[in-house]
Amino acid sequence: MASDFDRLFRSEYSRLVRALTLACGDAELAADAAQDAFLQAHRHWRRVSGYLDPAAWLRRVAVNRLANRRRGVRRLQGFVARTPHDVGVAAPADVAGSLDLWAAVAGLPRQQRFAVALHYLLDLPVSEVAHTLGVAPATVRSHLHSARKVLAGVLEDDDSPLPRRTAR
Amino acid sequence: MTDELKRRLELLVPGPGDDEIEAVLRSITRHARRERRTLAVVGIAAATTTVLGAVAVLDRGDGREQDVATGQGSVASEPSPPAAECGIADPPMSTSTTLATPGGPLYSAWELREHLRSTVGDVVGGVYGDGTTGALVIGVLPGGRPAVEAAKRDFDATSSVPSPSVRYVEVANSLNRLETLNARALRAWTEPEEAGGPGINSVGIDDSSNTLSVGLQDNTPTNRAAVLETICATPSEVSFSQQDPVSAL
Repeated sequence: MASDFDRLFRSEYSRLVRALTLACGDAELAADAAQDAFLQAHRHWRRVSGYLDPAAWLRRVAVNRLANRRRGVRRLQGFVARTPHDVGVAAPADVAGSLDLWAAVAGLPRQQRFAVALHYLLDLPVSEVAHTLGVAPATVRSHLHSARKVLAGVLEDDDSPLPRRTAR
Repeated sequence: MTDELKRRLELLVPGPGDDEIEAVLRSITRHARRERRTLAVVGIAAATTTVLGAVAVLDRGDGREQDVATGQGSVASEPSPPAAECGIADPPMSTSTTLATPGGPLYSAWELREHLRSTVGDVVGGVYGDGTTGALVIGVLPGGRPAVEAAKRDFDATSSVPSPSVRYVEVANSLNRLETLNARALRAWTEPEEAGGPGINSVGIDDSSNTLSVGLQDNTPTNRAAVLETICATPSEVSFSQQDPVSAL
């Protein structure tokens, strides 16, 4: 049991945290949501491991947890301001262009950010993004289309290659 | 464009390092093992209130522990007697509840809330902004204001940003208590794929009303009673509302 769980954790945890970080803009919230989801998976592993795709279950639980936590955070929005550096994005000195991209992503509506994070960082097909978020595939396609239009402008403005960043 | 966007996004958000991943994995399995032990002990002890009391004391003694992932303190749930009555064991709140470390350009009320919850969670009842005056409102339990003020001073001492004006209001429910109820609700109806129960569509702590806010598909007396019974809460601890299903978005 533990080895299967360990394998799932090692293959999915980092990717999930990164996607949730991009979606919510807060690495700590993202890590907490991902860890909560894995804790639930461990707790119900006998059942979860029998699912056709345990990773899909994990993603859905994590996204729901994140949504719950964000509802709490939003009540304090007027007092909280986070910069890209605060949330673990590459340091400005290393990748100045990444800040523009981060700002562009942060400026997207929340639904578009989730769609972009799950589709591009987790490599999920549209149908799976839709399942994870509980919306129709057409909605996801619309979100991705709108997001790409915004982000394309940033990529065109800054076409210098980014240095590869080591994991923190 | 799609490939370039994917490449740039992958570079943009760093993931946790291998050491951190291993530490979190150990933390999760350790918490799960501890939870299974607690469940087993509670099951054995359920027949005798004497032994159940001992379990509560042990659990309270272990309430604050070192977090493997962050090396920082995390706050576990409240003692277990109500949980045993509910049949729901209360796990630690989070595997990586991070103590507040002030930073960033603006005063962070969220980090203050986490700091207060982590240090004086039994006497603080919430932190929220007053949209009219811009003041920070801190709910405190009767007699708890000195401790909360001291904890806030500690927080502010390490913050480079001055605190906004603060107003203290007296409340009845501690954040620790509300967190425990929140965790119970999530554990009782946690499966997003599964229906059943009283039809809960949203759960969250509402600092401004100092209650656990529960959104019900059908806000009926029967469903409200079912929620209160399942999570072992009193009516003054939970606020109910009609709530349609909430998209994860």
